[in-house]
Amino acid sequence: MSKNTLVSKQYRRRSPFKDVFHRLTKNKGAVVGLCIIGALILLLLASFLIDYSAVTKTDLSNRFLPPSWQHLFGTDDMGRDVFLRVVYGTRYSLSIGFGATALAAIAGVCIGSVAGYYGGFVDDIIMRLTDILASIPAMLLGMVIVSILGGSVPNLIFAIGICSVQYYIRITRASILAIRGQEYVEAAKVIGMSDAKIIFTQILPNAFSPVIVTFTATIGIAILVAASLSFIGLGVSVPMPEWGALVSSGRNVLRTAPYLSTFPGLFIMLTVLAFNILGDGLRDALDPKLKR
Amino acid sequence: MFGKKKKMNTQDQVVLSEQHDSDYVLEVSDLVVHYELENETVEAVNGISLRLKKGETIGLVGETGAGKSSTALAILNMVPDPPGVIKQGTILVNGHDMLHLKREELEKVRGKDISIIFQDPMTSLNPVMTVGDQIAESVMLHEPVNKAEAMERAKEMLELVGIPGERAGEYPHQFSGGMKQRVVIAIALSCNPKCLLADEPTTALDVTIQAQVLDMMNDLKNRLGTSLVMITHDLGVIAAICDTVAVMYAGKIVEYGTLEDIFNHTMHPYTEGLFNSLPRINQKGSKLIPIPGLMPDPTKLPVGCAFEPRCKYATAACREKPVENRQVSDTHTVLCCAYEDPDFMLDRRRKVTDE
Amino acid sequence: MIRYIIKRLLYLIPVILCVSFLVFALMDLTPGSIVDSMIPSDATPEMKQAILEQYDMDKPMLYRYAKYMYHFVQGDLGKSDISGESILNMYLTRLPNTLLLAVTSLFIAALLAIPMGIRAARHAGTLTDTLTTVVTLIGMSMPAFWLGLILLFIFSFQLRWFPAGGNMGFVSYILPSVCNGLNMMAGTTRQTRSAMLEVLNADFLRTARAKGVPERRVIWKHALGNAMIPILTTLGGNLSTAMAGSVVIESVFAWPGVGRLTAEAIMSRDTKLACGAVIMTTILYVVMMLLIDLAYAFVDPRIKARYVRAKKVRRRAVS
Repeated sequence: MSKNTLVSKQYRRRSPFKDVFHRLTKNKGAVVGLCIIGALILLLLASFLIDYSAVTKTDLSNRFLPPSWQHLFGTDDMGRDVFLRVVYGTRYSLSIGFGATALAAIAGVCIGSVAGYYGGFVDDIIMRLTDILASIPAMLLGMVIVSILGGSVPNLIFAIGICSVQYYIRITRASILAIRGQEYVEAAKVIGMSDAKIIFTQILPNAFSPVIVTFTATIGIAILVAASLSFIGLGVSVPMPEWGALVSSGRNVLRTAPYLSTFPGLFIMLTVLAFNILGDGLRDALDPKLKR
Repeated sequence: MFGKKKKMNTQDQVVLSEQHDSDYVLEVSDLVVHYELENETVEAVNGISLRLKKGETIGLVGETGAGKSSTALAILNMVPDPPGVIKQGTILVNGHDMLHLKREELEKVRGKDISIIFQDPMTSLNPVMTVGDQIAESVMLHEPVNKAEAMERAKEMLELVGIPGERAGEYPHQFSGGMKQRVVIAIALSCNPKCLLADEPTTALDVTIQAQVLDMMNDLKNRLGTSLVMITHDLGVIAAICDTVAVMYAGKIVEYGTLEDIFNHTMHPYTEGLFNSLPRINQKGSKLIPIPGLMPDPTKLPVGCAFEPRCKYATAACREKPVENRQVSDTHTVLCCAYEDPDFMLDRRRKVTDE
Repeated sequence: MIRYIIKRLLYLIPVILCVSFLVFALMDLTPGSIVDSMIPSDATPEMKQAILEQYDMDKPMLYRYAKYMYHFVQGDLGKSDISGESILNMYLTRLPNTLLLAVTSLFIAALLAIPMGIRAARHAGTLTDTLTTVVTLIGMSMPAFWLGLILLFIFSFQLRWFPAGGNMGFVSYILPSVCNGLNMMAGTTRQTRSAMLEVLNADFLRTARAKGVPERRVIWKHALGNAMIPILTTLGGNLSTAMAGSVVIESVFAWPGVGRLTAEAIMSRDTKLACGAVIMTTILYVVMMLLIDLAYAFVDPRIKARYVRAKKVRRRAVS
């Protein structure tokens, strides 16, 4: 209790954004998460130096070489360097994870605000449709959509985006319902502000933090779903070096060349871990009630 | 989880094993409770001594933060640890040395020899257990009864506090605030404890309900012969129910005496301040005189009298040295150095004597 | 309460209809279905027409959907385009495997996660807590298929303790259940920890301690009883997902469950089988979710009261 009062005293003069940032940098986990994400972005930039032909070129004289300084992660059944392929594959996981989550967030926040703000009939319809979307297990829905559209990066973004849009609709609607009745929203109505303006200037900024927290948390899930789809052969597929597909391509030779599956999987884990830690840190930083 | 266990010395062990033959149900001596935070220490209770005979009622009165609740928790050895630490003192409840008992022994004393009613009845009951179960749980823990007998007893207890026994199967959310407090009281009294601590039992209730609950507690106390420690900031409650009063300020008892001593022979300036801030119905036009200022920061208590900054009688001497307890009569003590001057008298008493 | 359950069950009907329509429509849109491939490239327009008519492809989709559902409710899901087996049969023979895997992994998860979460919450801020947080974060971030492959490599290939796949009796259950269980455990531990943290400072625990309730009972009965809802939500979500078939884990361990059946059907373009399997699984999933929802009432009497009084409250809200 008294700890909290002290904390608030200490931060009283900072702007909310700086305050959150400050608390975030104080959270060791969040800093680690940010560092990993930073490193991944550097890796992503570096991967643009790699030519696509270099990662797909087969070299049958060098098949199944174990990890060495020459081939950090070894070579696969076609003699391709796994390290290069993993580095090159950074773009798929990051773009699918980020893209799908951004799509879901934008669509979900818009739909959720409409439902929460107008209520009544509109709300009922939207929420029933959301219920229906939520009634299909995400993985199955993803599989069905990808199988229809075909496995490519934009299609995966679309499919996974649809799977996670329900979270944003629910969260936005819930926070708006909580905010809608507050006096300052009434006041904005009284001075004749338009509905859209009230939603965007009065309500959404206050519903922001749960959305941000969900965002970081669902990026991790999106990356995992994308990798899983690729793993079972429905997502981005060989020869493109998507991480899930790389793990999958190593499973048949798991007994003799376990490194083929190990390293790409490790990269998936690190990426998801980074977003999860960051999400944890953000949640703590955005919610002053949580003491730690 | 609870108060830190200190090393047992031989003397304490003697006390523990001795047959309890003292008149006192509760004896607290020189209790010090601190909350040790990362960069500071909150000195909540600083050397409190209390004694309570069987059937007697003592009132602990003081403002928020005076250390009343910490005292109550310390008596049960339930100060949250960390950050709370019971630095020193002895607490004897019906002869049990609370600070040196093992956890299992402590669990046997709590609820059986001594129990407590907490301030907020809304949050003091487990929302997912029926009230009957919550009373029966206590009975089953301390008495050799089976479930059915315990439930029977729970119903009796409910009847005792004025709730129909058949409501035992209901959940806390089905009761109103005053009813919940009655249930809490029923739990506390279910094993017929020798001593009951009541930590502001009426503060969270509506004014109309407050009187009902107080009457009931008074009645039960007399019927069951329970000793009661009534913690409150309400002098009205004290007047209605207590035999002895301890006025607390900044973790110390500043004035201690019988109801008569405190109300009619007020000695401490703080006590006087409390009385002056009460509305007087029979004196038209009289103003409320609040005590100026705030309680000192419990992390930085002064060397001298803690009330000195707010006291209208304060002198330089008050600030400089620790105040000694002064025995005024057999029953009355006061913690104020103004009485080193034999002619000193509070305004309030002067007025009373003038009239 | 019973009225409420019936109402909820009735509400499932439109949901199932909508979901099945959605799935049916999606599947119907799938390019390159078996029907297309049945038309030889040199077919005359008449032949083509005949094949289309045989499969109702000349009629509107709604007609095909209605016809499909008409048979569906009678338990006739049609025959697989590829193997010619009854789809319902195929599904029902696989289902016990999936359910078994789901239940065992749920037990593993719950038995590990709840004590771990409680321990972490009770020692919040200490090394135990930090370690638990790190372990669960890693667990949550680990792709299930990767964990599966690692377990396979260590325990099947290196130590040779368990078979690498298929259903060969008890030993075959262990690796997939452990893998699935560990996967569920991470999230459940975190949820248990945060739910317990919220409850641990509650006043009613103080009341319980004050009446002499032993600490163990304070934690496991009074505190956990009140932290159960979010834990139940997480476990229930995991269970429903696992019952819907952990496609990935079934694929790694070559486990003959419904998840793999669905995935294989989708990949081999066996539209009818895929459609039937997805709809069946979805029905299973929504029923599970409903059961979990109803289970809340048994954990928390306040929720039960809300169900019983739901009508009254709504009437008040309207007026």
